[in-house]
Amino acid sequence: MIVLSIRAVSGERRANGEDTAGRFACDTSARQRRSKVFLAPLALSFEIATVATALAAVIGIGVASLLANVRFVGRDLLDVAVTAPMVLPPTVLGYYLLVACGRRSPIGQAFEAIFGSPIVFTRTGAVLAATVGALPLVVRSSRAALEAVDPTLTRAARTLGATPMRAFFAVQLPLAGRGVVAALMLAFARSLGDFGVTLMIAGDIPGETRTASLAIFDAIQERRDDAALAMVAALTMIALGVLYAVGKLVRGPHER
Amino acid sequence: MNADPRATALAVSARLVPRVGTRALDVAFEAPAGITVLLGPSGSGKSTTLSAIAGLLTPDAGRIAVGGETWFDATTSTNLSVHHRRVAFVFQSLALFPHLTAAQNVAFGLARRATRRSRQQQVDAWLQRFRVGHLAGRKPGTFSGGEAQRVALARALATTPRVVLLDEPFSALDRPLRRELAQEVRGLLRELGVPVILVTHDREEARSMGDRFVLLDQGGRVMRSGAIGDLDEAQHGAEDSV
Repeated sequence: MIVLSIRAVSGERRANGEDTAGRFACDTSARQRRSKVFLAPLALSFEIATVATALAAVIGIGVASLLANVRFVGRDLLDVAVTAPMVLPPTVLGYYLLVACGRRSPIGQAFEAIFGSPIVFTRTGAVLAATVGALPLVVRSSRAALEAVDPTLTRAARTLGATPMRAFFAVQLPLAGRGVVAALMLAFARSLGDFGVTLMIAGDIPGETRTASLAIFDAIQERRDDAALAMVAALTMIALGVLYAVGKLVRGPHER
Repeated sequence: MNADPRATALAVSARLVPRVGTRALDVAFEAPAGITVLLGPSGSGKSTTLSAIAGLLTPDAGRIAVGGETWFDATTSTNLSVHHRRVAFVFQSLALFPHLTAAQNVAFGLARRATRRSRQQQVDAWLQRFRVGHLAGRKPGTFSGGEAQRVALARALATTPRVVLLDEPFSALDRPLRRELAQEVRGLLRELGVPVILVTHDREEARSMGDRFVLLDQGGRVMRSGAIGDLDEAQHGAEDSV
């Protein structure tokens, strides 16, 4: 699998070149059933994006609530750490994740011991890549939405006997609802299209980690233009649809 | 309700060192059961004092106790959490939860171990006591100023508080409505038999509602305090000394 990923990375390097010899043997069988060529990667993208969005929601809203409500040492560092995936090159980010979660890292070994399969170059790796990419969007937008809720309401909840946890879940989060939902929709759209980090830590394994964006790359390398076009059109429509819906949601009548 | 007022009295001494964005505060006073009016110029620390009593901010020094129970003591690092203090706090902005109905707002502060049925009865009783029973199923966005005021008071007092803190709760109302509601609330507050701290700018409101007063100066210190009858004298004295 490591070999496979190296071939995939070198494939990326040849993106503008004429050499397409780096295609994988598995492609031949996939090509036989034409519809599967682009439907399977799209379905896989959806599956990975759904899991990644759920993970990014739990982690991201948790981090956003800390950043918005609690003053603690290292708050700015945490902010920088969760925002970094927005600005770091995917290769750099992928490198860190390979080091942190690879089969010889403590995290990778612990995960493999518990679940019986490694993180890297599996579907788990693809989910991890998509989650990391989506996290800054969830944290930044949810934090802004949480901070826009009148702090007096949270204080009122506390004086009415609510623990900080209850004040958050019963008052602050519901009132930030639109902003948080918008953040999750953007996160979903973002995780649907991850390319660089996925390639770095999950490779390009058909049926396992070959998501739509990777399949588009492969299709173009192999001059299968209609397969590429079908997936390009599908991803474009989903992304624009999400942006449109988010815009509508955020400008809603009860925007706070 | 006829308990010894000392058994329920609130004793406050709180000092805050000024920092960026906060002013100095150095208050000390006692408030027995009944209404104590907290007066002073803007920025004298009236709201800050209420926040300290509620536990929404932590003083740098001092002690806050109700009856025999210590809520805050800087020397022993005692600091009871806000949600354990049982204060009824009515904020100047009222802070009704916009996503909940009037009934849900009032139910928010009721003990969660109570059965649904008994909670429902308490909610109805409190809304009716403030004559807003008809608003039970409506959300705050549709309330008039006076209605919002009544729901906020019902929500705060329904919690069987040890102390009631009112931060200019009538300031958003016009004068006739304010006077009417103040008179109505005064009786209910007395019935509770707990210390009530009322922050106000309105001298007439202070005289008509209060039993006692505490007058703060610009520097966040207690300048005078005493029975409400001595308020005029105290304020004249204060103006003379400025």
